[in-house]
Amino acid sequence: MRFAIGVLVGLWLLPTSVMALDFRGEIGVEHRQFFRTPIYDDARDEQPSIALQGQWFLPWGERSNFDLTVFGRLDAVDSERRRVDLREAKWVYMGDSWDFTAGYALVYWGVVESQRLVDVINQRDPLEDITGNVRLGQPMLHGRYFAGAVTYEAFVMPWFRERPFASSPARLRLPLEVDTGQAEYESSQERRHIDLALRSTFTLGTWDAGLHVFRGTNREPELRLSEGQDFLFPFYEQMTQFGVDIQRTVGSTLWKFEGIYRSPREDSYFAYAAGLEHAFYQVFESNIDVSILLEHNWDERGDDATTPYQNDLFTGVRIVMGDVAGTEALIGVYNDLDYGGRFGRLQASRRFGNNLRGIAEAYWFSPRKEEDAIYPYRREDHIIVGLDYFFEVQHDHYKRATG
Amino acid sequence: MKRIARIVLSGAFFLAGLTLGSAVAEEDAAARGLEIAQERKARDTGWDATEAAVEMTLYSRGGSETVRQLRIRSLEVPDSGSKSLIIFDLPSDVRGTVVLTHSHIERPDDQWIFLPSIRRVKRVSSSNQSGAFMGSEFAFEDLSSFEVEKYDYEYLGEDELDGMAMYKVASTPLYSHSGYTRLITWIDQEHYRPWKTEFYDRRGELLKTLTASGFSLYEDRFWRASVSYMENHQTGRSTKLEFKEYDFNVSYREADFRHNVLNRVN
Repeated sequence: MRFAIGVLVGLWLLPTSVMALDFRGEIGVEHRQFFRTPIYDDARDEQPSIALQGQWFLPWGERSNFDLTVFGRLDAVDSERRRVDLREAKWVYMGDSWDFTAGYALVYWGVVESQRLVDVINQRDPLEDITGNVRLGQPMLHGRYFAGAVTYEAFVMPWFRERPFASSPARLRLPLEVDTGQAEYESSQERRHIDLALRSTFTLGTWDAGLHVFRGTNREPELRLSEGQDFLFPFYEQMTQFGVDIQRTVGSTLWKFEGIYRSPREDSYFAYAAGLEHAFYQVFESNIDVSILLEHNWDERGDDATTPYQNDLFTGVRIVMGDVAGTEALIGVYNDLDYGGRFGRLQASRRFGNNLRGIAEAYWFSPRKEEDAIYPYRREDHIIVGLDYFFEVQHDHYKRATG
Repeated sequence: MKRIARIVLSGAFFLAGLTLGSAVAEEDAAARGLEIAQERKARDTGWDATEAAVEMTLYSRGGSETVRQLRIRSLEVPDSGSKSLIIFDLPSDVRGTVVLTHSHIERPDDQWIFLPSIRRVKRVSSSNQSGAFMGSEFAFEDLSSFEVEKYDYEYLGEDELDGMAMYKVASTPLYSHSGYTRLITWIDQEHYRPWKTEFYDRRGELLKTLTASGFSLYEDRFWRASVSYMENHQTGRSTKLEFKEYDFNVSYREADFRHNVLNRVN
C-alpha cells in the first residue's frame, strides 16, 4: 500500500513533458448521504471522499505502447476504500492482423445495460459502483487475431483478484461482516490458479455477436458463514462458463441478448439477460434524445442466485439533452417478478466549462420479502453528489495533426 | 365557330407544348445538377486517407463561446461510402471517446462509439442523422462524406458569389432520417468547391446556412476549406469549425477503421 502510494506520487511528479508521454488526471470529490436508520449501530450516514486517477500513455516505437491507469481514493469512513489500485498497467503490441497485451488490463464484454452477465474477465469493484460497471484490473496475457469479420481472442490470467467489500463503519454492508482476509478457494493454487478464456466475435450487417468459454476461478464469491457463525467469508470456486452475447441494430432499436451456462463443481445453471433499447431522437423538435430500456434478467438458480437478478424486469429511461453542458441522465428500476421488490438507480451528470463534470446519483431499495437478494440493503437508500476535475499534459495535436 | 375551334385547338397545343417544354427543362435541370455533383465528386476522389485536427467553437444566441477539439480521420473506400473516426480531445471529460462510422450508399451507416472510462465499444443506431453533433449546429449528416447517390439534384442556374462564377444546385436527400427537405449549394465553376449551402427543414423553411472559406490546395489536387461556419437562422446560434491542419500523408488502412481496435486509437 505504502509502496503503491509512493509509485503514484512519483509518477505524478514526473516531468511528463520531458518524457514525451501523454498524461491525463482526474480529481473527484464525492459525498454519499444515507437516509435511513442503519442495520448496524456504528454505520455512518455521511461518507465523503476524494478520488484521484492518473493515466499515462507512452508510445514505444511505431507499433507498441505502455498504458498505465492508477486509481486511488481517500474515504473518511470506509478503510477498504482507502486504497490505490492498478486499473491498467499494460504493454500493447499492434501487428497487422493481430495484437498482444501483457499486464493489468480492463476488458469489456457484453451488450445489455442492466447487469454485466457475460463480462467475466475482470473482478467487479462494488465499492465504486454497486451496479458493476467499475472493475479491477486483471493481470493477463491477451492475444487477438483479426480474420475479416471475425476476431479470435485468447486470455491467460495468472493471478486472481478478490472482490472488495465495504467495511465498518461504512454503509452498504451485509448483515454480517465479510472477512476478505479469510477467503477460501476451491483450487489449491488459490490466487495463483491460471485461468483461461477463448472468445470470438463477429459482425455481419446489422448483427454483432460474441461466443466465449472461460475456465478458472469464478469472480463471484459464494459467501459462507464462519464456524462461530459471527462473520462471512468469500469462497471462490472453479468453474467453466460458456456464453453468448448478441446485438442486432435495426433503425433506432438495439435488440440485445446475453446468455451463460456455468458449470461449477456441482449444480450447473443457465442465466440470461435479454431486451431492447429504443431511441426517440429530437423529441418535440428539441435537441433532446430519449431512449427506453427494457431487459429481462433470469437465473436458473432462483433463490440461490449469487446476484439479485434471478427473475427481474429492468425498465429504464436515458435522457440526453444534446446541450453544450452534455447533460444526461439514466433512471432505471429493477422489478423483482418473484417477490415484488424494487431497486432503483438514477445517474445524472452535466459539464461545467471544459474541465469539470458534476454528478448526482440516487439508489433506493424496496424489497418486499426477506428472500429478495436486496433485502439486506433495505435501509441503504442513498444519494451521491460529486464533482470531477479533469486535466492533462499532452502532445499538442493541434499543431501537429498526426499525434 | 371554326375560328373559335381553331383558337381552342391552338391554345391546347400551346399548353401541351408548355408542359412538355417544362418537363424537358426539368429533366435537363436534373441531369445538369447530377453532372455537377458527379464532377464535384470526381475532383475529390483519390485522396485515400486524411487526418485533420479540428477546433469547434459554439456560439450561443447571447454571444458566449464554447470550444471543442477533435480529430477526424477519413478513409476512402472505392465504390462504397467512406469510413471515418472522430476522436474527442476537449472537453476533457469526453477525451478519448471515439466515434467510428462506416458510410454506406445503399443502406444505413454502421456506427460504433468507444467509451474510454469503462473500455466499452458499443454499436449504436445511425438513425440520428439530424441530431446535433456535440451540442453544435452541425447535425451528424452535415459531417458525413459527400456521396453523389445520396441525393436527387436540380440545377438552378448560374450565380455569382464574392466575384466568383458559381453553379447553384438544389439537392434532396434520398437517405432516411434526414432533417432536410432541400439543400441549395453554391459551387464554383472553376474548381467545383462548395462555398455556401442553405439547408431547408422538414417544413420547407430555411434552417441553416453553411459558409466555407480559406480553401487551400493539398497534393496539387484536393481543395479543403480551413473554416466552415454554420449559422442556425431559427435559433440564432452558430458553430465554427476550424481545420487546423490537413494531413494527406497518413498511412491509415481499412484495418485501422474496425470497431474492435477502437480501444487502441490514439
